[in-house]
Amino acid sequence: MMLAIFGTPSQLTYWVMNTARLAAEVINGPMAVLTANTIDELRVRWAERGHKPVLFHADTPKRDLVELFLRIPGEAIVVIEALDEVVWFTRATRGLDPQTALRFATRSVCTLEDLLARSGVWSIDGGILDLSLVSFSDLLIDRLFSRSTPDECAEMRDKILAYNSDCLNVRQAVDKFVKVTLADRHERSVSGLFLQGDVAKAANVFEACFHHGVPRSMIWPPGVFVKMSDLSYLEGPIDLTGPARVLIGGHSLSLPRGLWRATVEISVSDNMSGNTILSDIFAEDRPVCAGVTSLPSKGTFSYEMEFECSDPYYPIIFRISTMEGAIEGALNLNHVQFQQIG
Amino acid sequence: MTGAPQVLIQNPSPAATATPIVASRCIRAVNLIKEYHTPVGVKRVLDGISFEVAQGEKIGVFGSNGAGKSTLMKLIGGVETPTSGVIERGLTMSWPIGLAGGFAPTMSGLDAIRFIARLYGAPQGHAAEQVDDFAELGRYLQLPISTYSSGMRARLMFGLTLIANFECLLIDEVLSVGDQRFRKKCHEELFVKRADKAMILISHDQGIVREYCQQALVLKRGRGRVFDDLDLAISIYRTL
Repeated sequence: MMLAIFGTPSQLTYWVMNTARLAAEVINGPMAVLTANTIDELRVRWAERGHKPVLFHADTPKRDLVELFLRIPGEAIVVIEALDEVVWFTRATRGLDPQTALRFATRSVCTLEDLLARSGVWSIDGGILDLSLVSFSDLLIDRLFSRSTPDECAEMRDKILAYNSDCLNVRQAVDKFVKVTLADRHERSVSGLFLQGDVAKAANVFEACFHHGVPRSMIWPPGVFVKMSDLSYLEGPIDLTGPARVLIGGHSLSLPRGLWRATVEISVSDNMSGNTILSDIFAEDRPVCAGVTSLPSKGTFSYEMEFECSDPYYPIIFRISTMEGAIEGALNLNHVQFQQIG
Repeated sequence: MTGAPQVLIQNPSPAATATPIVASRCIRAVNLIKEYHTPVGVKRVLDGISFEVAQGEKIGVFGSNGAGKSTLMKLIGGVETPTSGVIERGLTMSWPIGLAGGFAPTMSGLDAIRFIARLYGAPQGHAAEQVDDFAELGRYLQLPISTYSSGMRARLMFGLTLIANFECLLIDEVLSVGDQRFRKKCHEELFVKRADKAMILISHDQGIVREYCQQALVLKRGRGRVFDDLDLAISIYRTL
């Protein structure tokens, strides 16, 4: 048996995995956790375990693995937790910096989203936190172990409730689980583990596009882009003076699959000698869209670029480069708005 | 008498304070604009160029074709006048070396030498000898300049520059013409024998500018900016 639980690298995912394993072990005996994000990894690691029953987990599945699971029938859980929860958890457990954590989180969310189209998938998000533990246990057993005998189901429920003793609902159980697993790193108030400033804003608008009824549109503010000269985060205008070069890059976040339009707003000043910029959008180290813009002497302008995000595993990188040496001028990237158009 | 020297402190007299401040000895261009009237309207070739070259300093001028380098040299050399802006010539200055023209084609090389020697008060015999030493034109000096090849003309023009002891030399790509031997002689005359002279040097040769200049003016579409950081100026020029 392979019990598949896909989920963002966050506390709810790990608690669900742990709880599901408790239940599954009633039927299968001890089950190892097998983590893989590609078919090759899955094949090798499952063979290493002698094809015994395992709890399979992926947090950022690549396209081949997603397609495999979309084709085969069977129960699976997909847990997608709020971005800030994912960022906090990955920072606390893996020591990632804020931007890397956000990049990882968006990659996870966007790749997992494809799995929601699979029949039989049980989608779990933060909305389940207020469910009572008893209700959750019943739901879990009903979704994953409906063919089990009443005795097995009763044993599963007992094991789940015993493991989460003193917890009335899922939220309490998850908090307890995190305290145990993270020890002294569980304090959510630890400063610096949550995103700050523009990166937090980007995360918020990014997350909003996954909520039902919210159009898929988001704005990446300037503070999430990197100034390529010193790899610092963008603050204010960039002096164009210098050789032809990449000025701005970022911010390496994954987007959900589909057609997108990027609307770039820039302000230009002191550009009396007519500089030209190249804007391009990269995914998987190849450009998916590029355009050349002759900059006027001054003012605020916007231009649009359309591109297809064919594999959310690869983050989108937007860049602005000067195409020729510049002796004057300044460019301010006001924002880049992404809107899904298909 | 022995002892500590006395220091006399004098208040400046009214006359002294009224004396105008003498400008430092330099070539200074301030906000130069040059426009030409063309059949399709006014074309601004230079737009607000400013720079300064003091005695003994050297500035390189970079720019792609059409950026306004030669026009700038003509303005600095006085061959043309700016549409607006000021050029202060605080140093004696050569004509643009490398710029063909300035002499009637019917004049012989010797006529040109005599003319320049007379103009700058140099002994004519010595001047002819000095120019021929450099230009190696021999009997061709007696022929009209119109019969000279471009290389011979370049050698003559450069040689004529040596007659007068200019404080600032305007050099427009002279180092890119002629054969290796001519270039070597130019290099010797300019950068070894006249190392103490100020220079405004238009050159595509980034090595020359890097080696001899203290600053570089980069021109782009008529606009210009002076860089003390030569590496930055050269990196910009390479991608213009």
